[in-house]
Amino acid sequence: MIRIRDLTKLYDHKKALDSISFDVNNGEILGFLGPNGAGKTTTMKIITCYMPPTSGIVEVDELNIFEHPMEIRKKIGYLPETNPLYTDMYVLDYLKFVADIRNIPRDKQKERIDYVIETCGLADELTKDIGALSQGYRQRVGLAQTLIHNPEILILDEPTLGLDPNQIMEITDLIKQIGKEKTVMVSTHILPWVQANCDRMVIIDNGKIVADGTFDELRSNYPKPDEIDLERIFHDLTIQRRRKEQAVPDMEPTDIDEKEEFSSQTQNENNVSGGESK
Amino acid sequence: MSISNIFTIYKREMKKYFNTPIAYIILIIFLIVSGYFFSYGQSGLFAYGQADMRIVFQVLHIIFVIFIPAISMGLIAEEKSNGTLQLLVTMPIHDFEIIMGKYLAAFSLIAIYLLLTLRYPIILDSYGNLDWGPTIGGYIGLLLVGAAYLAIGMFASSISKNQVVAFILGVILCFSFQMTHALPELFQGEGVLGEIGLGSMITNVLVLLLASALVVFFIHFVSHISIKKSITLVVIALVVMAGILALAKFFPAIFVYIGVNNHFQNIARGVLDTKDIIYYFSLIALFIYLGTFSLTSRKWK
Repeated sequence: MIRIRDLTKLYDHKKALDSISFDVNNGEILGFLGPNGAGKTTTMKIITCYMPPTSGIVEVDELNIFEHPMEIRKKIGYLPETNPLYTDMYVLDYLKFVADIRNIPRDKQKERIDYVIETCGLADELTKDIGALSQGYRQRVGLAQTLIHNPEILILDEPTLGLDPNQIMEITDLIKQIGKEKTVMVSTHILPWVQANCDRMVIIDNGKIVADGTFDELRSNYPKPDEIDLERIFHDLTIQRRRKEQAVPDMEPTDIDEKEEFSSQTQNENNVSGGESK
Repeated sequence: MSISNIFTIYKREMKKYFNTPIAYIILIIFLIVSGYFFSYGQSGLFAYGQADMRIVFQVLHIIFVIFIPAISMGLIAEEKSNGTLQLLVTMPIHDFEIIMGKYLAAFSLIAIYLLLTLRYPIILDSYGNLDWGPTIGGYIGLLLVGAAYLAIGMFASSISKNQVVAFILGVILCFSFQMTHALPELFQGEGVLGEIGLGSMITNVLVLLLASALVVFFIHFVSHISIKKSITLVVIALVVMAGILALAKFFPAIFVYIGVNNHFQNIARGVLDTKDIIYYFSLIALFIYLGTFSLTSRKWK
């Protein structure tokens, strides 16, 4: 399982992640949702040991990312955002290359490669250049790469990016099938699929967690929960909230009051702290 | 560190070289240029009329300044720009293993290119009396210079996302190491700064000031850095340059040692001295370390 506590990441003083905490439990499919730029990719990059956090604790199966990065990388299969691939390689060569880097013993390589070829439906594309594949097949190659070492945990960053509706269905079906045996953390914008297939969902907005729970838990706050779908919840938690926050400066009376209160408060605090130090 | 990881990266890079046209294009240009200087040119075989490879080696070791960064520019910058680096560094493999695998592959490519020029001394030997000592020395020298420039070029490639930037930076760095030994010569005898009169000194200072002002405006308008900051940058650059020139005047030996050229000349004469070999290996180690460091430094961004 993945355990995240008070995770903060600063990019040049801008907070990409602001003290977030959540878990990914063993065997579940976790939908990791949020608007673009909310911090989904950053979180995933930190879990996969691509870059370290500014502060906070991240543990994968009780291994800390700072102390055991190599062990953690072995446990995780990672599909980065935009699915980068070596476009000059043949599909089969690429899978062999990944199997080599993953240190899969020679005698087991064939078995593993055959397995991912079958699971991801790549049998007819093996001798093609990856660069010549359609977007849907590229995504399958990306998924095959994450599965080759039979990892316990899969981290998939927008696996449906750039696909047409048919391809989206193929890939999401594949993820569902894989998710029966593995722990999967997937970020996507296909909310109906998440609603139907994910055991839990975490919604992140502006570097903060705004929701964490099963779909039923998330909608239980509404007066008529049965009429609510995940898209509504997502909008309410991300757009509505931001509109409210942005709307504050326009409401002049409350704004002035708040400001005055705030400045008098800080003045008092300053006085107090000044007195104490003297 | 594991050798098998380095070998995996090495195999992948070698396959890439021979599956894509770039290695062949560079090879063709390399063979045309070296072939031209071997047979024609001012000091080629026909004009010079001696069974001697020394001048070909001199030319090749200068061409390396452009040729090696052209090989190394894509090593890391390309993976950065199309995102595959993210894939690679999240696999269970150390940054140093990635760097070493790529370095050794590119070095093998250079060795293969040099192997293909072996026909020149063989031709010479069949017609005249070739002295094999300096010839073998020349090849060892070229391999060492190539290895050093490759480490420098790979470092340049690890800094940038853009291959063209990596190439230009690589050429500038290699050229600096190529020319360092010549700096003290500016002050000697009839050198540019050797014996300078007061009149020309004033003109030089004026020209320098004018040029600096132009550079300040250029920086200001091109990169939108404020005038104050651009002036500071230019002043720092001038002070560094003046410092280097002062060092070159009073401690010329340092520059002769830092430069690649002097060590190459020693080896090309057929004298294999541990001093020169240690120099090359420390240069290679330094830049491989810097390259690994720069790859790992994504962690602070």
